[in-house]
Amino acid sequence: MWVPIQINENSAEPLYHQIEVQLRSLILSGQVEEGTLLPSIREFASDLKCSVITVRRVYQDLESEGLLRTKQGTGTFVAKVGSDERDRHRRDAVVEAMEAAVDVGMRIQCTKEDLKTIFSEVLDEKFKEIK
Amino acid sequence: MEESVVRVKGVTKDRGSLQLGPLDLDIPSGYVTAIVGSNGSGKSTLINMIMQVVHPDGGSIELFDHKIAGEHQWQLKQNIGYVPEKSWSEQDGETLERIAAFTRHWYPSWNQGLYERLVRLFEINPKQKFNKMSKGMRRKCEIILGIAHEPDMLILDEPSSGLDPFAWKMMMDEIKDYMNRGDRTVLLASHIVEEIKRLADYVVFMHKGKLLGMFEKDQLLDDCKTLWVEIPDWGTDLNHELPGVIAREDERTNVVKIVTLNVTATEQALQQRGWKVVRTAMMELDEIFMHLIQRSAIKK
Repeated sequence: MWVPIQINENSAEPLYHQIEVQLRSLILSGQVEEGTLLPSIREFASDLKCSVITVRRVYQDLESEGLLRTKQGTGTFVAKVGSDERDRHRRDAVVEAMEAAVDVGMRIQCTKEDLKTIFSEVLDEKFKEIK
Repeated sequence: MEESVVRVKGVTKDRGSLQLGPLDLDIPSGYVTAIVGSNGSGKSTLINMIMQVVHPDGGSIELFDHKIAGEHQWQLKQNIGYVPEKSWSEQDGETLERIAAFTRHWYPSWNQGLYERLVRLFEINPKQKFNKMSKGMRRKCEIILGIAHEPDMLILDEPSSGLDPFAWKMMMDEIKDYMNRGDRTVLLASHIVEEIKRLADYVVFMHKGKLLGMFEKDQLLDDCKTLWVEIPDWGTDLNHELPGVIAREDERTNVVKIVTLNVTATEQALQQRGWKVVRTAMMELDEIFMHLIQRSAIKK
């Protein structure tokens, strides 16, 4: 199983955190399905050019969140994710993207009203495309 | 920390032009530890002392919880696969086939299937004499002999010297396969940044016979960054004020490039002053090594 994780080396965010956030998101969004066997720790580490210490930490964190489970001698699998959790994650992802957009707006001194106008314009534009 | 397979305690060695030590180092079981050093830093001497080819003047070395220099020595070495920096000239007239037959006899864990697979993979003629082979071809034979008896620990001293990019890739895959079981250990001396970055879990820096420290590789790469900082009031002397910062360079009038060994502390301090980081870049291991050398020189 190849897991599409993209590491940004020029970010101040720690490596294990980047991997953890992306893997969690892949599981919660269903892009990596329940029951999928993940690569062994050593294999995954060499794919990502990081150390086994980092990958082990990510696997342990996600296991304690209930997203992964490890079977002795077989490997690490994606666990069953509840639909509540999945919905919450979808919402979180949108909130995070909007926060980033608002940050950009604030940096160039947009007012709250400016942002509201821009937001409804973008909404109208996007939903027109769908129709 | 984890269990150690090698414990180096207070080891010293006088090599004439180079005073080694005192060296203290634990090699953790189940991981790849890379020793990075400039030429003449003493890393091969350290490895030769671990392999008991060279005897330390002082201190002690334990292998798998046993003091070396003793009756266990031979048994202990059976658990190690060793690829030395330089080929043994006594073996010049030998062939891989003959050395393999000899090794098979002495190492009960010899895996003939693995040996044959590696000979095919590396495209070796096992009947060719070592001194008739190219440097890279001979290197491949040495790597095969290091791995084929499935040791608990592999000690590789500049293993890729002489290998072409294809053979290098194969060697990297074999080391990865070897480690995949999870309970084996690799000690690697190298100055190839790419090799260390891909393989190592821990990095040990060595310079002029002294150790500059052992680091968890990812933690080190996370902590050490180059930052470009926008500073509105020009002329502030940064060096004394910012934690973690070890070098600075002026880029443009209002942007300063700084190198930090503790990015979290530096960023916090920058934020307090209201100075903005406009760009962040990772540092390569060789750059970090250079800065650690400079820092150790200043400390003296």
